Amino acid sequence: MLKRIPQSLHRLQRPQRIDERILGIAALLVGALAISYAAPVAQNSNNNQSAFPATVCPAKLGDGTTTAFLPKYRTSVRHVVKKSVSFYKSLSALENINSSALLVDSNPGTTFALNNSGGGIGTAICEAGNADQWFLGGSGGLTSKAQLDIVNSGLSPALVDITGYSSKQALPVISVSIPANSDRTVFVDALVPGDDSVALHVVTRAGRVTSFLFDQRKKGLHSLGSDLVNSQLSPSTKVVIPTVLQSSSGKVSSTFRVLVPGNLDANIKLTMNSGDGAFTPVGFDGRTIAHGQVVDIPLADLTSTTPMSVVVESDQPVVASVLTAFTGADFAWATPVSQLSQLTMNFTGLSPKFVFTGTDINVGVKWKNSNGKSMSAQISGSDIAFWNPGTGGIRTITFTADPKKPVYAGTIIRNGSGGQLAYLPLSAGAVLEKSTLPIVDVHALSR
Amino acid sequence: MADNFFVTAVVVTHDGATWLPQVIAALGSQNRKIERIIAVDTGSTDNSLKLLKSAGIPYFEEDRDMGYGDAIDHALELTPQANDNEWIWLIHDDCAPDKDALAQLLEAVAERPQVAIAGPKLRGWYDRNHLLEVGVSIASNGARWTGLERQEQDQGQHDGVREVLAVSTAGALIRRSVYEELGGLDTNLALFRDDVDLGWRAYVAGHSVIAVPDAVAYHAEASSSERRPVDVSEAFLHRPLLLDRRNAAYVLLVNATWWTLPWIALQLLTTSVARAVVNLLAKLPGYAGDEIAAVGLVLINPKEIIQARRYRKKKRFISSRIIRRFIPPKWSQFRMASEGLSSLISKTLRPDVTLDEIPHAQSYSDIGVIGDSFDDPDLVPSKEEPLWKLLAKKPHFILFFAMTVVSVLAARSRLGNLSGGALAVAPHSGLTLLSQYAQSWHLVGLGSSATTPPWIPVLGFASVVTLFNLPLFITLIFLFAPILSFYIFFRVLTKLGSTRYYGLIGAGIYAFSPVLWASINQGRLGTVIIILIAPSLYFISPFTRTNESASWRRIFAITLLIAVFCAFNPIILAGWLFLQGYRLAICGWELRDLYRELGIQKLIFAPESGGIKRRFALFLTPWLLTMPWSIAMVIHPTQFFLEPGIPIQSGQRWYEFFANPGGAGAPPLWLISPVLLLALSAVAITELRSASLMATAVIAIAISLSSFTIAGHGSSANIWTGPIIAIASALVIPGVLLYAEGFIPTLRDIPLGKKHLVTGAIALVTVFSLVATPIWAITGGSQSLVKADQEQIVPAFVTALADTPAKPKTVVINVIDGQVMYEISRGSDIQLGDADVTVAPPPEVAQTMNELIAGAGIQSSKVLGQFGIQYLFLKAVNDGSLIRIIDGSGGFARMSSTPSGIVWKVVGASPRVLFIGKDYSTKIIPSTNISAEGDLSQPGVIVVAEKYDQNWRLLLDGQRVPLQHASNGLPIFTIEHSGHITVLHDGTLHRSLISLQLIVLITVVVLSLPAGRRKREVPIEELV
Repeated sequence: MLKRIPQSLHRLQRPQRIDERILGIAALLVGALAISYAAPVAQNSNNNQSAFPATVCPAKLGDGTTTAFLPKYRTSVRHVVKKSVSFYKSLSALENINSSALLVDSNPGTTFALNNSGGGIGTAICEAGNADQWFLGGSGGLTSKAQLDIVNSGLSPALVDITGYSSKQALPVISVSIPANSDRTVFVDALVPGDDSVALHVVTRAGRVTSFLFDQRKKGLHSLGSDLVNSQLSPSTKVVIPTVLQSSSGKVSSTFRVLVPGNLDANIKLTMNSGDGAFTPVGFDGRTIAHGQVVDIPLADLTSTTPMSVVVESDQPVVASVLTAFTGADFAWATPVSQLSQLTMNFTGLSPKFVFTGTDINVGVKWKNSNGKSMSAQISGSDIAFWNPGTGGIRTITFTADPKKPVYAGTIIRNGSGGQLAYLPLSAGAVLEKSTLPIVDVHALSR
Repeated sequence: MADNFFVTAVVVTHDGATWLPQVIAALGSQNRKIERIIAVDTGSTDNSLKLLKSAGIPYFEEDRDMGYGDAIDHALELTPQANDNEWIWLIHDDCAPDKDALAQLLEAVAERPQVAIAGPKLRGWYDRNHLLEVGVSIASNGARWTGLERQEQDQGQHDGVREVLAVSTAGALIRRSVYEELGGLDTNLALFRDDVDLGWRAYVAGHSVIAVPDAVAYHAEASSSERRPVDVSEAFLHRPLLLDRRNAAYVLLVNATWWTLPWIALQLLTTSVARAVVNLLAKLPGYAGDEIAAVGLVLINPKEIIQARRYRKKKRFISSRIIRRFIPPKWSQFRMASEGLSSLISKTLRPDVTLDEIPHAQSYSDIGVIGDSFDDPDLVPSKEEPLWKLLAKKPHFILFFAMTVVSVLAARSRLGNLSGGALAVAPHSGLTLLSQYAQSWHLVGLGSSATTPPWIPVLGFASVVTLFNLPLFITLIFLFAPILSFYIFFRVLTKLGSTRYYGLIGAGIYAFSPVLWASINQGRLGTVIIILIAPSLYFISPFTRTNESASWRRIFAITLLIAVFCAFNPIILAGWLFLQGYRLAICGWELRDLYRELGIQKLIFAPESGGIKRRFALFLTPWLLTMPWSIAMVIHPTQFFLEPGIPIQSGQRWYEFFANPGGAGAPPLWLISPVLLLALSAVAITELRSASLMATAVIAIAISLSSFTIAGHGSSANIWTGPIIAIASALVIPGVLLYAEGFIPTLRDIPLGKKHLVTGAIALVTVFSLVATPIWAITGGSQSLVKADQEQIVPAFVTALADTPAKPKTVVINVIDGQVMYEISRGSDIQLGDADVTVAPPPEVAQTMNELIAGAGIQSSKVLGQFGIQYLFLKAVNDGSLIRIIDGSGGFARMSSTPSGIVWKVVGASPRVLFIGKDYSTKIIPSTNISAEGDLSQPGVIVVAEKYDQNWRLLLDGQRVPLQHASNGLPIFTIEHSGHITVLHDGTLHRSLISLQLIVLITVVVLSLPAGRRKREVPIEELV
């Protein structure tokens, strides 16, 4: 116990000893501060993780076959609408899809599906579940057998709102529920009856849903071809459609379809890039498009020796596409694409033609040819560039582009005879999703 | 006054030579002459016989083991009855009646013909004013009941003849005819309680007993105070207490009405056990044994009781219930016991205060009835001082009032059920904490077998103050912490010799220290407790004193206090173990030569090893007292740095430098605490150098530690150093203030210099701190993390579902400061103590949650469902992307969406215990929080949706089924055949460790308590 200090002890110690002690204490405190600065900084805050979500390929639609082009063999897949929800490893990079959609486990590569029905072909990127998809394609007319395939790859029921747009107006929303791990098909003529100009807006309210639009046309018993219409994301004031096939032979005709979903009319301008140069078709420089109506405008009198890309600039957000029709043979919907970044795909057995568009094109390509030999090339140019891997076809191919120089790319796939046509936008089916690594923490349960 | 009574005085002697001369003299000097005196000596070995012989009293000798009743009977056999009006006067050899005693007794009985027995007022032999008895009774638990307080002085307060159940045989006057009619004293009661029995029998035979306070006798109570051996044959082991307790039980059992016997037997048993415990605590194992053995002796011989009851039945004319009015009510016994206990405690706490020092009212003026100047002829008008002057003379009243006002104003948002910051929601009852401590499996997250820290039961026990209303108790702690710390520190300073003014300044510095307010605002319950009890360190001073010469009782009292410290703050345990380990090592080093000389065995018993033994006890006992939690500390040393409760971020470096632990709700840095300045200035003072260096070193340690982040208790944060700073503050403030009291006046006498400068600077900072901190506390400081009655995070319906047999779990996801956090709830927010036992979820669940949040969780619902997670609750409703991810992940069906959050049901989730039959049929096994039970009709698998732990057990028809670790991380059991199953978590080891802890605790408590004294060790002057 401390005692009261007597008066006689109220004298300080000798100065030099005081200084030594003060120095000692100062050293102690400075040392402690130094340790505190040297201590490792906590690494617990906001750690990020990234992952590719699983993607869904459409089921066999129409009367033909559908094949999934997986990024590599032994990719984990499972069929939707199966009792079992277990994944299995694919035996090859090509997985045949029957009546049920295919769920591809997360991986950095992009899968696409090739549908072969009614004498035509169609391709679509296999996408992750999207809450908001726009389809500008298909028809509600008599000749059309277009159908919207809504795949719920989740394990709980899904709810989807579909808004159809006709050439006159937006139609009432139709809500569709899809049971867990199954899909549901809705015919477009039921959504937008009797109208050739159709746009669909699919909004997922709940569930893991991916939708595909399959467009097949017939005239009596005569098939007019088929295509898978790739979806578009939200409307934008700048839309780039990378590949539109044009021919000087006159067998090819193109129709521009546009929708202004907002409440104001849009003023648009089309710029078409081709190997022959860039130009704006007559009547497309400052053309007013009424809002809420699907507008089809034939792109007449277009002649080019090379495929073209279409850039739509608008003062209001728009969605757009271009229909390319081979007279009496097949048709294909060219849809917008997002900016190219890193992308890996597998084209086993196909010989696609790649089209790149952008102000300053500089894209690196690495691929393996059919013999498994690794090869690479650098594609450069301005406005538009074309690249063909040459004979023998390719297996996997990886594109690398500088994100600071926007480049948009697409593929033209034609069968051997050239009578069948499909456009495949080069965009990742599943974007590498970065998220904060969640931490288990009691603060989630406390104030 | 002449009477027609014949009085035969019967003196029984047994080694009573010490008191016998006075007894003989008293008999001889009676104002009312005794007709006949006869003595019986029961084998005295002293000179009692010589004394009787020399006094001319006829006597005869009996065996040494003869009982008192037998001796009286023998005496009466030899003295024929003189007439019908003969009275026998029983005189003990240690009881001297006053000269007027017999006359007063006879006068009383003469006026009351129904009286058969009369007894005098018994006063102490040595303290002649000490009132021993004015009649006696027996309590329903067998206690001898006099109705008097301990050491009660006779001031005539009990005067007046009155009926009593019995009177002591010492000085009892008994009508001989009635005595013989009743059969005399029961010979089964050789000594003790025979008086009560006789009185009881007299009443039921239609007589009455009176106490005559005008008749006085002085009694030494030689037998009951163990001044002479108890040699009677019935005295098993010759133990007075044993005989007394046995006889008490006997009296009750043979005299009470038959239908009250079970109740009486129960009371006897429970009271004996309680008394035995108290005696054990007082380190009187012999007495404890007497208590238990006494009841046993009676109960194992029912034949004796039956015979005695039959005998009494023959003599009974009135129901035994006639004596009910003499049995003391329970509340009287309780009041008397509590008063005795409080008296004992106050005597223990203030042993230096003697009776003489207690002011006694000596006159009417002393007690204020009239003034000292009552007789003064001139009335001088009193000069009333103004109120401000009176208050100025007693500033502590003003400051205590001001502290109360500041405490209440600062706590205005903390009046209610508190939670927030480090403080989790408290359960409604403190008893919940006790049961939580006993459980080996905690329903936290996916389950935890972590050891509950000892502060949980300590807090649970302490809540008895509010009748186990734990929320109220915690609220009161946080509300009164400033005023309590102020008062406690003021008391410490004044005890240490400080004047009232300096005491108030020191208490103010302590009560407004940043560490206290940061702890309150952040909900640091452990640190608040530490701050409240840290000043007590000065009274055990383990840091500065060598304890080689300290008593063992003191050593164990220190370890108890330190154990409480450590229970609330493991960092203190770490520091204590380090400090005492270091000193133990030094002690060991100093004894190395002696060890070589004597060897370990002789060294242990050598007087030189007293110091090291005490050091060892100081080192080890707090660790043992905090078992099994302290074992976990040693296995995982980083846990030493975890504060009780939920980890939250605190300040670093410069905050610590200025003795401010920092963090949300802490006082801002510009409110400079004078603690560091005091510590630095104290280094210049020789006497305070050690304390200064220690305080500075402690602050330096705090600075270093605060920069390290540590994970645990379900989260992570930098090390909280509040307790360290609190101890540094408690170490440095008293010494400096005590020094300053003497030093500051000397400044006037020396030339202006640096001393003035330094003193002025410290004074300035202190004044600023004392003024600014309260202002901050009631303004910005009142907006703390801790708030009252905060809304629960988990939705109410999820809470309600938690009690269903499936015992669902819920994942709660929240986004705090951009960080996605989740925790698994059992239906409520995190509760008090839960964080301390929280462990990481299994890797399968962690991986699943990562995938879910990343949007790649296509299997998430399946995995979460397997772990019994039936709901997913997203608190962060503003995070649209997270909502879309969960909506799109599949397996999560939305149940509700409100502004407070969105709830999804996990499709196909398992209950807590699920049976999957061979035919793949499933059955929910109803589960409680502890176990699950059910009947199975076929073989299959039992899946327990809890974290895997090797102590999970399943008993199938009483047979243990081997535990398996499933590939998905769950504990499973393969059931081979149908039958009844019980699933439980085996807590045998946990309970064993807690039992060991309890044994250590009881032992240390007993060793730290003051030892009781056997009666023979108490000076007889103190007793009578």
